Amino acid sequence: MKDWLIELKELALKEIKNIKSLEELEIWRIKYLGRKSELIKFSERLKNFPPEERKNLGMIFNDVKEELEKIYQSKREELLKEKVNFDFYHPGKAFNLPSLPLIQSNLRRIIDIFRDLGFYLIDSNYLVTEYENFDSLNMPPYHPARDMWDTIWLKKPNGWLLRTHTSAFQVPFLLKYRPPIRGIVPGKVFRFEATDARHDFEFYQIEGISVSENSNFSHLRFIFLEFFKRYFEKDVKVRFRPSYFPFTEPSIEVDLSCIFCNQKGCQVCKFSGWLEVAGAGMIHPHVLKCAKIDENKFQGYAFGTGLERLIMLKYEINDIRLLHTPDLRSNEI
Amino acid sequence: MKFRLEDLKNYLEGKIDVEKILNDLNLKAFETSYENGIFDIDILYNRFSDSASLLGIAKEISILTGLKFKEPKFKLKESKRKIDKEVKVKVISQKTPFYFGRVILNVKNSISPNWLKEFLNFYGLNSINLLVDLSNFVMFEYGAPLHIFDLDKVKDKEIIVREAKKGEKFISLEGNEYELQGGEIVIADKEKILALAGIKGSKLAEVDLNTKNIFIEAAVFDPVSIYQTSRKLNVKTEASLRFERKVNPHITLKALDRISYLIQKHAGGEILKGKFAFGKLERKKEIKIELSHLNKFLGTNLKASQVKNLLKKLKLDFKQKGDIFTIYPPLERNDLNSKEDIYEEILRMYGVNNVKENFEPLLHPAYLDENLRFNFKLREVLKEFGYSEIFNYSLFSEKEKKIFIEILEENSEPIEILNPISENYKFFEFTLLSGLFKGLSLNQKNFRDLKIYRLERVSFLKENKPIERYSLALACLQKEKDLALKEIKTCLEFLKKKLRLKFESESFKEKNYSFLSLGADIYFDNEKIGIIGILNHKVKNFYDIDWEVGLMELNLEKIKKMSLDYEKFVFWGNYPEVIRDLSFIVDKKVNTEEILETLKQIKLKNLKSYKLLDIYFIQEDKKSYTFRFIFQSDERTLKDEEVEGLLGKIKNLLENKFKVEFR
Repeated sequence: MKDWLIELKELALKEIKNIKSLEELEIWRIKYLGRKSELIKFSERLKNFPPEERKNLGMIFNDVKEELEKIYQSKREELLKEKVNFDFYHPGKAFNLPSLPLIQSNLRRIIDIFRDLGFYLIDSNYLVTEYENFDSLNMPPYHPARDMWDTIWLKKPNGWLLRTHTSAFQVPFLLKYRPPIRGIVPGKVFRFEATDARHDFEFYQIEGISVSENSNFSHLRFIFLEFFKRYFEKDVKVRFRPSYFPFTEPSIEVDLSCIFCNQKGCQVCKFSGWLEVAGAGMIHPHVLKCAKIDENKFQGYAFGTGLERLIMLKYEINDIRLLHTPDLRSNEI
Repeated sequence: MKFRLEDLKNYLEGKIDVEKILNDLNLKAFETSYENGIFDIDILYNRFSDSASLLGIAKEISILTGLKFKEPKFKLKESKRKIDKEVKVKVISQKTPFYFGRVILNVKNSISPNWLKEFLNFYGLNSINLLVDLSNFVMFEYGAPLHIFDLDKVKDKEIIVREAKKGEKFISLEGNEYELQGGEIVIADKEKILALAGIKGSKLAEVDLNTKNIFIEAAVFDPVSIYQTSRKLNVKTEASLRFERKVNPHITLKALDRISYLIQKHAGGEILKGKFAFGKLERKKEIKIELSHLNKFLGTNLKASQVKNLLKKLKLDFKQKGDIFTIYPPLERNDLNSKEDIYEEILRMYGVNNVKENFEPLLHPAYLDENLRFNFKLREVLKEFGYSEIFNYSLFSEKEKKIFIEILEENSEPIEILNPISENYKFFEFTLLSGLFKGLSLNQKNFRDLKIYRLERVSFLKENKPIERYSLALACLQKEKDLALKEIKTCLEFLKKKLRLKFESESFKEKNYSFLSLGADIYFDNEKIGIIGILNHKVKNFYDIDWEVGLMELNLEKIKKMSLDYEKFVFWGNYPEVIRDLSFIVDKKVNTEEILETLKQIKLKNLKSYKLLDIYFIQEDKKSYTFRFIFQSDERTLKDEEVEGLLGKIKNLLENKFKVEFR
């Protein structure tokens, strides 16, 4: 009987070698290890043998069974493994990702930064009156400073225009939200201007205003430092230069340390190490008066910056028109 | 404005360090660059009157760098003859606050020496003759524009400063004739206009090489008037530019003596005694500042001694009483009138960059504007649904206006631009669709299954008032018309769900828009909230779009009001739902709204909800509906017979009302 067991084993081992599918393997398993297989049937017959022989055969039987089970398991695993045929360099499925214009995604980022710095977010109109855009900002009619803002006028109503700057909302903003108040007014502005790589007749500005008993000049530097640091995700320096705006006194121009060359000098900063990025100042008493704010009690600062300029610097874009196209290739995912 | 270093040197003493000058000017006064002996200085508008000149810049450099300022020294030799014997001047114009003049007799005019020709050439003017060139030289030296008249060409030697009458003619030095509209300041005699004040002289009183006797005008004209006249007639000159930015009368007076001196020096002649002077000059300006307020305003910690030093450096006269400073600004500075103006002076002298940054404590919690917050949410939601936003301009052309004019609300009209940049941007958009379609057209080759939107302000005139509100326009591209419509309808349903729009009734009223093949107005609770439809062939061609365009535009003002931020939690129930689909055929004339209205009336216990699954058109005159009904009890599992019974009631109702045929 011992030889029979060995032969059975040899046969089973020989057969399993040629097996190529799980189905065949299952047939093999039923044949050699199934409840009705000859091997299992043999185990039932084992008790009929005399004790010594039974012991000996029992051991051999166990060895054979164990070996077949083991080879069955390893064959099964082998077959299972072979079923997966995949190269991990194979690309995934094609997909279209919805996207936002860079202007929108960056505006969102900037608004979040200012909110974290304690600014209200204020919405404002594109169509404004001459008073809002100019007079209330200390630019009476025929003031040559108005020439800094070439204006697109409406045919009617008379005296209405497309705002040339977000500053047009300073007085309406202060009339609506009384001090102490700190807010930003982002949005589209319009200029009667020819289009080229750096100019367009529509673009975005972000205006910031703070009016309280103590809003002062020293706060401006903090805001700019913190804002630029967070927006450009870089350690930056800020430089102020005296300037003039009719609606701020004192007025300053704001320079950012060149983010391309770290002030080593490059084409972008024209080897000056600085990039002009914003204008700011302490709000002119005329503006406070127009907003019916007691200028002896309250004071404040205001600043304005061009959104496209910031995006162009951050993303290294050299033509503003790439931000002003409906082309989805200029969007951010 | 450009200045030659060699010219500036005439008014400065000490060792010139260009690097230092450049740095100080930039950080303490004006944006400046330097190349090949030439400074290019961006003189700020409010400093134009005192700084747009060689003396002005030299003085500024002297204050900033400590170089010594050297004012031109000269002594005027006047004759004994008095000016009022030779010339009469009448100032009638209200727009002329100051008018000064001198008379020089028997000058000898000539062509200018080379140095003067070169000087003027550099500063952008042509050389005319010695007298005219000297007056321009002084304009650049002092910053005050001057004008010289040939006195012998002035009728009765009487000069009248008045305002023009409508229709009067003015002949410029070049011989151009201008018709005046009235109100312009002119210098005239009894017969003719001699000069367009502050802008240009006339040929009729022109100084030429034969000129012997002259009247020199040094005036201050109303900036607004000069600005208006210069724009109206489209004449801009170096003088008009300066008058527009306010000329300082104190500087003007000095310049008058300077030109008289220079003319006598270079062309001889007799300067008559005295000068004509109209207008009352300010004697003294006085501004009080308090140290504590200065520090509060700037966020600084300056001490009285520091402020004292800074004022000294600025060469401002002042008196100090403890922490209170009374400042007497130079009368030549038009820009120093309030304490803020003085703060600016102190600040720039102290160094704008020496003020340490400070975090301003929170003034209030930060809020987002409701509209903008809603817009941000919409953008997120639409992104989730696979829609991309595109940028486009807010202005469009007459043609685009015409295509979409039917979208305008009643009693409304488009907003037209008075001075459009080009024909393409003549109207402010009252619909976002046109800009959206331009986006479809541009992107169709690069992207498949386009789904794009615009979220922007639209505007129009309603009862002559400009109205502005946010609008949302969406469009998708599909090969087949019905797919395009289904896609855009899906988006509406998605928005209803994601924005949790709450309303009682919804209806689609088909309307024949001339730009659509099929379209409808969308009503929520009987209020029009937008339009939906599919673009017709003609308009598709106009935008050069190949596939079918499903589109929708929504009034966000209304949508926002219906949108909830959250809804109460609804438990799905302990017992199983039983779902039954019901399909039936009905006459095409029956409209869906009626069927929906009828179903709405059904009040059956255990009918949890129902929805329309499908509508399709079968023969010419029939359509088929499939509704899904969901039954569920809060107390037990429903039995089949019960459900069949409920469904039977629904069937009866539909059968009786619409003669439907169940399938």
